[in-house]
Amino acid sequence: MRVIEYGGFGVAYAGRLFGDRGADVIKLEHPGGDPARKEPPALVDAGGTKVGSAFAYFHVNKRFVTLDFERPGGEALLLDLVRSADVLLVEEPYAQSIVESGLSARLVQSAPHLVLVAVTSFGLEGPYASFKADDLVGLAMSGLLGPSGARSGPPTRFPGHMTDVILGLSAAASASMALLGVQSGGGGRFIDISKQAVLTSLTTVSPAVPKFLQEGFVGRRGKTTPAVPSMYYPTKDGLVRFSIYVEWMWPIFARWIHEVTGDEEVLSPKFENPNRGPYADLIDHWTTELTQSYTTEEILVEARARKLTLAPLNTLDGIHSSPQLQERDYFQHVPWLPKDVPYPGPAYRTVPDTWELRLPPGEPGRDNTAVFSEIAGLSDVRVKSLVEEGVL
Amino acid sequence: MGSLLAGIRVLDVAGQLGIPWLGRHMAHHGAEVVTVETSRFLPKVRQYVAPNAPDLGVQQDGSPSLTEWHSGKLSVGLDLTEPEAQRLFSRLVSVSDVVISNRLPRAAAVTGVTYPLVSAVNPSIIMVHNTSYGLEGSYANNGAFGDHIEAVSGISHLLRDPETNEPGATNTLLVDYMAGLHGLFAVLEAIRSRRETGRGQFIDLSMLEVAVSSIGDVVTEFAATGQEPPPGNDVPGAAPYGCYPCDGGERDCVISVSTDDEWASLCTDMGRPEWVSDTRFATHAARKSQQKLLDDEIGKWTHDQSGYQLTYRLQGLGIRAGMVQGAKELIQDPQLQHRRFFTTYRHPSRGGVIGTGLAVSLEEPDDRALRTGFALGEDTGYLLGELLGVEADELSRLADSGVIDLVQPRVWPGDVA
Repeated sequence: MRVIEYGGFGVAYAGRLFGDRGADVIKLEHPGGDPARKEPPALVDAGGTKVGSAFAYFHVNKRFVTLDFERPGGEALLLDLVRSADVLLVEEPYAQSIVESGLSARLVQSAPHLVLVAVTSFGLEGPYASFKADDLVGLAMSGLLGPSGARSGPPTRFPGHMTDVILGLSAAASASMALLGVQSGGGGRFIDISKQAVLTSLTTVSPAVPKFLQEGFVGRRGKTTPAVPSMYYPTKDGLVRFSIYVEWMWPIFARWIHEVTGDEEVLSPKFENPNRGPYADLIDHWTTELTQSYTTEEILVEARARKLTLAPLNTLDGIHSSPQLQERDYFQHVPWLPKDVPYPGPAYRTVPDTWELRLPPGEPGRDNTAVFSEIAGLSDVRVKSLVEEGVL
Repeated sequence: MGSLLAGIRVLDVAGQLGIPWLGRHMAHHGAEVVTVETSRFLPKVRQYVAPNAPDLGVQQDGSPSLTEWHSGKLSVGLDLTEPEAQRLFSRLVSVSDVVISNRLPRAAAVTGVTYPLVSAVNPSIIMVHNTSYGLEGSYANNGAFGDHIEAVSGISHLLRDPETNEPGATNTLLVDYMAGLHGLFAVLEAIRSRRETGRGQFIDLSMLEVAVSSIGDVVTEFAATGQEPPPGNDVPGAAPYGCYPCDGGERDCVISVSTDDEWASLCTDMGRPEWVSDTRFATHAARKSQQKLLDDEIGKWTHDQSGYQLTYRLQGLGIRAGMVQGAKELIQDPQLQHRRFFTTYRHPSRGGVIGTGLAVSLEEPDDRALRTGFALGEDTGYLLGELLGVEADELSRLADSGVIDLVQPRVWPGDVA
């Protein structure tokens, strides 16, 4: 199983998902190297060159080759590479350029079994096909930015590279779905993935559009679901997130409020209805009275005894010291980082275990000799001369 | 027509959010996906009272969540706390390929939907078991939704308001859906692997681990350097970059500038060509240091403009720009319409309902996948009677005792009688 990726962090995450489970993933770069390598802060020493923490995280379990397929002989090597592969993941702006130049058609003709996934901001066709979207614009145009952030602040982008993670998940699962067709004897497939559409698919939670059409409900930041209570509430020493999405929790919670505050009204049957919206302020007030009577540690114990869903607000420090993640042996140690730097484990585990960290991030073209000798029979000397000519 | 997963049968005991959404993706591509539920413990998605029509009471097939997450599926009514129902479930497992669940370990044990039990019946089964914190550890039996996991994982902290430090949230239970996508990828890979090896697979899917791995770069950077990214709309590679008022302050738009060329185009459009060479803004580093000033100036400039006209004009100049869209705008979005992103599903009592598009969609769904709003237990007769061969009088006895729900299948609009 071989996957080739060419582009940004979206396809890089998709590539990593395959690579983590044992596929031979090849990151293809222009001989100058992917500009994303320079995204600060420099963290990881990849074969003599420092690369950014994001680049390092998205590029493990991969081999690195360089190729300028616009130079003489370059396209022939690309065709050799692609013929040997099952999946080619290409991201904007390369996705548009290989389609417009006719290269994608030549690739598909040369490798009819190929699953070619093109990831762009809005899709390859349609009125917004020429528009560009980074994470901020992609989130805005998909309905995810409006609700995101703190109630007191502006609509806020998702942290880190979460948008690329979501895009990568869609690209990887789409490729995997298409591979089932190839395995059944069908041909390859060209998949046109739009960042806007993938992100909009996640509005299914509320679900925003059907709820608007059916009920006229429009979410707002800090209050996108009609769940009451649902907010951050103060304890004696911190904040906790508490929400009631499942109705059997309400009577238990109302009784708890009654026990702590002595309030009688909270037990009224008028609140025993998922549509407590009109009483949100009152219920938030009672909830705050309750949570302020405990420390975070105390209230977690009390909530757990009542089977209520309540969670502490952690900083990044809290994640590394999370007893649950420690008990699950989630964090790993990897040879390319200092010993005391814990490294995130897999997003999911399998039995039998298929996850392994095999290959560290590397410099552009680290694996040129191995890969091009394998797929095109090039000698060490030939690879070196192609590097000098700027093809590799 | 959905064919990529033809011949695959999925038992969905998940109920709500990301895991049934995973199941909907499979139904869309031709799998037979069966929701397992019981009227004795009515699932949350069936306890729907329309906020704008409370007089109609509980509408079991009317919730937008049901029609979104469960479209294209079948329903079997089984009370899995009953030993007789558990035996029937085991027989369904023996003729199925995939089981998807999001029950906490204690509930899974009570209902018998655990990997040791289902794999004993069918060793080649693929099972996804999604929990809040993982199957072991002291939090294993703690329930949580995506917003709680955002709080625990540091995502809420990273989404805080830079001015007030108030924690934020994605407010889309994002982690539930990322878990659904990880689960989908894992199941598809497991199906491909099983076709070669004959072996099943267990997928242990913890929402907390999904969340932490989604910000793995930030978490690693913090561990190595003690630094974390600044809160708010502040990224190293772009300035100006943020949300600005438009349409007289009624709406918000976003603008993101990452190169000198884009900056020059924006200055020209703003009627401020002198800013291109102004030392305060001439380089990316300079613009980054003047972000607050730039945000104020751009906000004044955008405030009374039509957000859509501004978006189209700036995109035409090669500048990343967009509107902060909500449900109302999404349904009218010309690009999503061009991609036929929203689909009309056939619904027995409503005629048609609009469904949101999927994150993975390689085929047009077939007629069955375009049905939504099934009644609880309306495929019990097919699944237990026709498929497993349980006799009609036995089904009646089980229905009378409440172990199963047996409901006459309904006619969907457009179905051929």
